[in-house]
Amino acid sequence: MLSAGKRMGVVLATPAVFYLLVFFVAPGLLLFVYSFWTSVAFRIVPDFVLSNYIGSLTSPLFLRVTLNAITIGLSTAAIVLVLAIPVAYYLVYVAKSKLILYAILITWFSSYLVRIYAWRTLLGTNGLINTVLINLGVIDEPVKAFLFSAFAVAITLVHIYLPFAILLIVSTFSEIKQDLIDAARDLGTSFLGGFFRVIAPNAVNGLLGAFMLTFILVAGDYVTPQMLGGASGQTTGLLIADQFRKTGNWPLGAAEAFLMFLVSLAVYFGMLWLCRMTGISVKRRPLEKRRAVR
Amino acid sequence: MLAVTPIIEITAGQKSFGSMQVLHDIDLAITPGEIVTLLGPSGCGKTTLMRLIAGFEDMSGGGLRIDGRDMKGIAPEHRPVNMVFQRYALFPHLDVFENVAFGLKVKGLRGGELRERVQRMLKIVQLDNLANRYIDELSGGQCQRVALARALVNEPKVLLLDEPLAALDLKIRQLMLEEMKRIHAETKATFVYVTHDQDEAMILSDRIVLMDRGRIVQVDRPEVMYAHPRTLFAAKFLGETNLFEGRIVGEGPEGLVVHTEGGVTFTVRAEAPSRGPEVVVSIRPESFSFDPATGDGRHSVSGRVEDIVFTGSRSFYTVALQNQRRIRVQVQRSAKHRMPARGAEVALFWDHDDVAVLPIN
Repeated sequence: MLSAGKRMGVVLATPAVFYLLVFFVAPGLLLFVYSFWTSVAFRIVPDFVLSNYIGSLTSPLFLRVTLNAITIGLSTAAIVLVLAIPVAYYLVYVAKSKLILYAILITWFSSYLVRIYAWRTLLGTNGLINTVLINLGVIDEPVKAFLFSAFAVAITLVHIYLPFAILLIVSTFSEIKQDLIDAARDLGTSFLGGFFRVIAPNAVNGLLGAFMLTFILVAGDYVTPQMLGGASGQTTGLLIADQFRKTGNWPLGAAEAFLMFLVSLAVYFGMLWLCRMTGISVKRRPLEKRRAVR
Repeated sequence: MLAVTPIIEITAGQKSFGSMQVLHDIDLAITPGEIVTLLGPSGCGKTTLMRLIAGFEDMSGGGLRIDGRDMKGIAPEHRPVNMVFQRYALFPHLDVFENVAFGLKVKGLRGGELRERVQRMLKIVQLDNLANRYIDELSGGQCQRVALARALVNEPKVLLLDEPLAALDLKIRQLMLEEMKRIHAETKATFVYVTHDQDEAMILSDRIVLMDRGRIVQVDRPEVMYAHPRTLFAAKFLGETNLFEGRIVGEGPEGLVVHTEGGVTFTVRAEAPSRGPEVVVSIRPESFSFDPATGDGRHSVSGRVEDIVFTGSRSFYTVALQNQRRIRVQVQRSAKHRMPARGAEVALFWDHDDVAVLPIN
């Protein structure tokens, strides 16, 4: 017999759990099974081979594009985090107003695609940035490298994902009372010292969450790289999409998707390790395993 | 006393938030080693005054010196004060030891000396056996001790305490007050204690700074402030009192003679307030007695007992005078005297030294 609280939990969670089981877990497992099948003349054949994985890992194209995806993902996530933290700090501890947050969320009223096209216009050879730079005499002819590059992808994705990160970090900071910052200052830390010694350790899950959300969305994005990436801005997401849409090699696409999943996991654990090493994240040991005397 | 340099000296202190002025003309000197409470109702500016001393807020005008040094433009981390916050503000990601070690570590202390100083402080607050607990594994009273230890381990010239007992229940509050006195005696730091609770203020303080609407109303030792409030606000805020509006009708050899609306005539051994003959007379419930021997023999008034509240050692009587004016009377339980019952006709006696005369607001 379940307690009333647990029964309530079951009732409340069932619709969402059911939805995710049917439309996420089941397709995910199916995809995992596909990744061991083979593709013959645009048809997929049940099989059990590791060639999709081995082929991907030995393919220079896959490795180059994945490295590219990781680089763009990490740099975009890092830039987003560095830009979002001060804004979130200002919103929570200085302005103490939800109004500015809502204003930031208004950017979501413009569609993702519209914003990609907007950046094409801004970054293009006849775009705003080139025109301004030419008129200012900084450059003599349009810089083609602005558009169709990893730079173009990163700047556009920062624009798109910054509001997400701000929202996440604002909600994390809201849990950390102003008092803690005052206490840190009172005990002798500078403003930045207080941030790293008190806010960051208590916000580490939210900060890591914002970083990983950005990383995963960016590394898996296949629209922006396609529209703005050119040859140097290709990512694994685009490669995977092509296996499904163009070459019809679903098993290879599925294997590549799972490799990308492992990459994301690796990045997550790498970041976690980094936080532990720098002392920003502290793991609490169970009471009986703690040192009694130091 | 006069030779000692004040540890904290505020002159003509002002503070405004935008167009709203929250502190007016604050002049205050605190002697090293004192326990001073800033007492007042919420919104009186006591917390703001403390935050000015801590450096979390800048003064809008006037001067602040701590240990003889001008604090203008000095950030909180560079002031020789530490603060105990109202809801403790302990660091949830650190255990008790690390919380207490925080300030010393920031100053670069490491190794044996750090360990020794933290351990010694944990002993003083009796938490040495809980050093490896995290904050959410402690009770409210234990959190309070960690907060005290975390501040005091830095050996501040001044310890600021912002309503440190407000979050504790009554019994623990009594214990912590005694603890606080003991810790004060052991550390010899100056304590500046913010509270809205008059009992805490009276138990703890060497001096009370009574505040109202952004101004300091009176600064005195607790017993002096209780016996000789200088304003109506002070009389009402500190303890319970009976107030009679009245008029000074003359001055005899025994003092001022005041006729009051209750029909009671008081003589008061005090200076007449400068603002006209209209005054308020204040007399504490415990200054009344049913026993003629305890009064000064010259003053009494008669009435009828309307209500009795018995609280053990003391009883609270409501006595109605002929004109229905009610007086609160507090008497100690005594085996010697029979106490009047409800409905009894009684005479009340008092000593004119226990009467205060206050300017009407």
